[in-house]
Amino acid sequence: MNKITLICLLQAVILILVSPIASAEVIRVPYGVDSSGSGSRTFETSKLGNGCDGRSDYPHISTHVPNTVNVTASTTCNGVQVTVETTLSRNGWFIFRESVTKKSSGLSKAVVNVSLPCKWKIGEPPIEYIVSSFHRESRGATARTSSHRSIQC
Amino acid sequence: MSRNYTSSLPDGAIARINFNRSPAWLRLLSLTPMADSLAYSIALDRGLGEIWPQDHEVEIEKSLSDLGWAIHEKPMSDYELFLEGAVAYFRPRTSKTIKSYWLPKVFSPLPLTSWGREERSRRFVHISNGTYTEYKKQRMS
Repeated sequence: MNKITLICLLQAVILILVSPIASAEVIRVPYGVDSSGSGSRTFETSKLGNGCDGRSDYPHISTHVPNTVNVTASTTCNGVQVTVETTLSRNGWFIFRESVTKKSSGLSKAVVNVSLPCKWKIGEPPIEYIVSSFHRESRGATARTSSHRSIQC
Repeated sequence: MSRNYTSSLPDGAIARINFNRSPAWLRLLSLTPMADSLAYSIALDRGLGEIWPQDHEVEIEKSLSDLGWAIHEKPMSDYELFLEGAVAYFRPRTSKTIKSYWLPKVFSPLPLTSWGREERSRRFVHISNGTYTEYKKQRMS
């Protein structure tokens, strides 16, 4: 009887430890402006997930490699194999769209840097860049992210 | 984003106009090729434009608020990035029902203008991630 109780207790402890929701903090964070422009909206961060996430940064002019626009995307999930696949595109007519795709994987974190050479010329309007990423972790969960930005590059 | 407006913004600024909160006629204008630049000036007059610095090193000129932009002093929070579709959290997979998956996909804006492409892409990200209801509640209500 004692043995069974001990096993049940042990299972309950393991279940609590491995449950991602159990470790989620309930913190209210401010974001954005509300309809009156006062910026008082808040949201509970615990609603955002279990600590595993995918990110696509905004494309920007590279400070390391002149005349290139680059973007960093990452997938993070502690203790599991993760993958990120990112495409950076320069908007144009459908058949003339230029894009570069890169993929990376790693344990707990995968980061990928994608770049395109600058094309913008003085006097022309900014060029629209589109980033699209696919994030995956080894247990099968997936997520998509994307970002857009018009820059003079 | 209208090209005329972004060209006057500093390099480290990320600007967004939320046409989802505008009247239907203005949203339609923003989705009309060639006429969309007019929609941006009207939206700015109505206070729908927001600017964030790309990182903590960038400082945005306060004078831009005279043009109608709401200026944020800090970069986008994780939740703002989540709404933008730039951050996603792994969640259990959800079923592809007509109401939560197919209908929003079918009725997403056509990618004919800059806003149309951005909004369509954002919606597709949230629909795929199963977070469209949250996006709709925060950005489209």
